[in-house]
Amino acid sequence: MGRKMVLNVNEIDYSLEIEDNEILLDTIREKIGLKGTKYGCGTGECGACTVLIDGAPVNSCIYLAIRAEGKKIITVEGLKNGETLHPLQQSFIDNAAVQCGYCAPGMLMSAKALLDVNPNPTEKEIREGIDGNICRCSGYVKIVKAIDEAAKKMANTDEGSENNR
Amino acid sequence: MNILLPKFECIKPNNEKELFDLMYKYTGRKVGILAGGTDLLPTINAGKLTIDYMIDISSLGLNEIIEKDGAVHIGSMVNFRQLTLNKLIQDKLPALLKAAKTVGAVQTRSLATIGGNICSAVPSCDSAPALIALGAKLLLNSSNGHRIINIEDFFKGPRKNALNSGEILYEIIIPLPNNYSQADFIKYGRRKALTLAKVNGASMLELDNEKKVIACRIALGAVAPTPIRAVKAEDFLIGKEINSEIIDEASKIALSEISPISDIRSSADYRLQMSKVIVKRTLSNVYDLLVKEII
Repeated sequence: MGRKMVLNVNEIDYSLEIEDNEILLDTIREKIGLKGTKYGCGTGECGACTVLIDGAPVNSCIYLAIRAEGKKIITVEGLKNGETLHPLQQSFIDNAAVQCGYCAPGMLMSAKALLDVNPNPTEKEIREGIDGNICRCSGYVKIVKAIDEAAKKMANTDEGSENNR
Repeated sequence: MNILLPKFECIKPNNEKELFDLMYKYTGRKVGILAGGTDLLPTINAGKLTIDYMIDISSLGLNEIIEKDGAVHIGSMVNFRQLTLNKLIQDKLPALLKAAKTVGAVQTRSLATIGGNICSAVPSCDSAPALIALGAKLLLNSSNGHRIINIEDFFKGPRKNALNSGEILYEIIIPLPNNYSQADFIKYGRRKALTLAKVNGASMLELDNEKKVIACRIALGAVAPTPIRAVKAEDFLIGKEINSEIIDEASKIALSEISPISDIRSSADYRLQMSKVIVKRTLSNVYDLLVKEII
């Protein structure tokens, strides 16, 4: 018997029944049906399940779903603006920053969290910004390049700032 | 894939009275205090801990950082992301800032709290050496009232702390450093992010007008059952003028005060060598900063 509550995911309110011991990752994937957020290690060490909670990047596999009540949750599905991909997503495609792709949603969310507080990061700052995301294909070079290019594009275009929500 | 945590009831007190009523009600039961959950939930998930009740202390207003009466007061529920983005911490407590940045990874820091880090009382606790070097005190609260203790007296052994039954860590109180004092922190791990320290440590020096040491604190972590102060090395430095020979001597004395072990992360011998390096580097960094300021 769960508790009835409303969770706000990607600016949509979902009325749900949530168990006390329920993990947010499961709520997002199984109850809400958004499968972009991945299950990796289940212990908060690989970053595949990263979502933003009130703007902060969080491993949703070690977060109790009941704690998300009243907060704004953004998943990888919430990055695009209508049919337009977020500049980070486009840059990941343009730079082929995706090999198997399993870490990409988490990488994108960490990158988004970084650019939200630091729109012009150095390469070192980008690497620090994704220090909680593991890429088993070890494709870090292209991921870092993709984030760097997206940041530059977003700084230079109106399109970027519109999408940077 | 579902993560199946064993069943428990989660209760969120909204004020101090509700908290202590709950703590009293569940005395002797299997209770977990939920701060950031980055340690607690994986521990439960791994089957290493079973609880019937979880008390979520996030609605008690313990998430503020304020400056008051010459000290910085950090609520125990302040997370490391908050710490690293805070202007007061950035400007006044760079050693703590440095330590906070080494905790876990970006995502861990969004959740993990300074209070949880301290209460878990692991020997490798990253905030501990910086807080010990800065002379931090802890405000512990219970239904019987509060008490304030020095942080180094809080650690009683691996995962053992000085909290009595029904007691909660409320606040970390750090005296503001004056113009003649500085501190520095260094952590060595297997990698930069998401790693526990092989060794971590911090030093604080306060100098007089003649650049002689009038106060000193040296702390090391992951090289004893608890984070510890190297008091003999501190005593040796008092009244002395700092130079590389003196720093070298102090680092050697500090080694006599630690008891590192070999484990999966490091060998005892490597820990011993790195402890010396950390004491030397933090002391000389602090001295360089101070001499620049005094001149």
